[in-house]
Amino acid sequence: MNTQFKKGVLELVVLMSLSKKDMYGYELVSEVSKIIDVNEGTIYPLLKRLTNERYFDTYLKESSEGPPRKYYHLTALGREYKDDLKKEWLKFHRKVDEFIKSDV
Amino acid sequence: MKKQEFLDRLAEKLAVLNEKERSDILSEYSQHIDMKTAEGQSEEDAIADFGDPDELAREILDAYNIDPDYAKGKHERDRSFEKMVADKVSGFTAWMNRTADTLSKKSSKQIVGIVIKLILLVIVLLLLRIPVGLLTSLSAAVFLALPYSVGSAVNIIIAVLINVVYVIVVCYALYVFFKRVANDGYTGEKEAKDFMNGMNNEPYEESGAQKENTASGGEKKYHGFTWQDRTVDDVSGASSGSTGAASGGDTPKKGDSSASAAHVFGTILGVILKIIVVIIMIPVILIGIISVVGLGASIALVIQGFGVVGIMLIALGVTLCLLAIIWAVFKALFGKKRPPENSPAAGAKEV
Repeated sequence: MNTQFKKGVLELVVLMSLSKKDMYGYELVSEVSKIIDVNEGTIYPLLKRLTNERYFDTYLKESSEGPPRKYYHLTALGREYKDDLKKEWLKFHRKVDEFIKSDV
Repeated sequence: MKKQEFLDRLAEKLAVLNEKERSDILSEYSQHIDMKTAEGQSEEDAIADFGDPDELAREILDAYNIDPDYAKGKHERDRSFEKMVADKVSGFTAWMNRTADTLSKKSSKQIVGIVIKLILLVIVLLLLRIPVGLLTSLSAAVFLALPYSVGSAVNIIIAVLINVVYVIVVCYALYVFFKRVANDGYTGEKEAKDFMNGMNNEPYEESGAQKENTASGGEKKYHGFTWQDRTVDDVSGASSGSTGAASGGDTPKKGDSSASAAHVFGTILGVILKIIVVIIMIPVILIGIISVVGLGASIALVIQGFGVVGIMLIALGVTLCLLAIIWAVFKALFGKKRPPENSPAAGAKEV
């Protein structure tokens, strides 16, 4: 699939995944890459950016195996942003879909 | 690539970030690789999934709204002379590889690529002969000022040293070349571009330019400053080619990749160049001391009523110019450290 497509939707998928429950980096990355086949390395910078923009909070939690994990939590601001993005996506999707179908 | 090597490389690229942020993002990658290996994947495969580490570093910096090129420049400015030379050496090999790759892609025959690489290498090495020869003849011209026996002895030593350095460079370049042909390793385009920017400012030519300043008269101070500026450009433009060798310092270096070998070699080369420049500077410093004494004497004579104002002014000009050159050279070589060779400057003020 076109990488530009993927990149655009990646943010939305990350936000949606995190709106269900808090996740640590690797968990979130695996979750997202199940839906979009994307270079996993590029998700971490996105998490960082969304954290810097205060859409995510992070906290450390001990794990039974290995070092403590950093969990990401969607903030109220993030939730708002996610809803906006989702609306935009649906609208965009609907329009493109209609247009494509009218071609047949 | 092994995990530690990958993390070191990334750490180096992210040097502009503060310690906390850097270790923060690096720990995510470290954990990711650990998880993958726990699932039975090899470290190499897990890292290969990340793609090009340079591209990854760019994306990370982009997340911080940092222009990766600027970040690099700022980081490089802190680097020492040795590091700069080390960068040039590995940046040079990267550039060769990339150029040859682009050329050979069209023919899609690897053998063509290798031949082109070899030809490029030979051309560059032959071109390198020019500044080497220039430097040798310049030092020869300068040392003729010394008493004959001393001058020729110093000349021979310097000529030998310069040529030894040149031979080392040639051997090393050939070694890296064949190693790369064997490994067919990845090299970043960025490094190559940066290296090309810095290429005119080969350290050899820099020291050559210094010598020319000694010979020419009035514009010395000006030359001194341009040279300083050039050094800054040079350092900021220098590629961060020595990828394996992280300058971060917070992560231990491991493995003997060709990149870290390049770093070690470059460091040694840098030290040798420093020594050569210091040796070349000795007569300049001597002339400086003589001119300071001459200036003092002429001032004394003027005060006593002799008509040597012209000579005094010439001595003053020569002294200032030499001090500017010495200051510029040692500042470039030793950074913030105060060179003991600056003593003529102190002498001038006392007189």
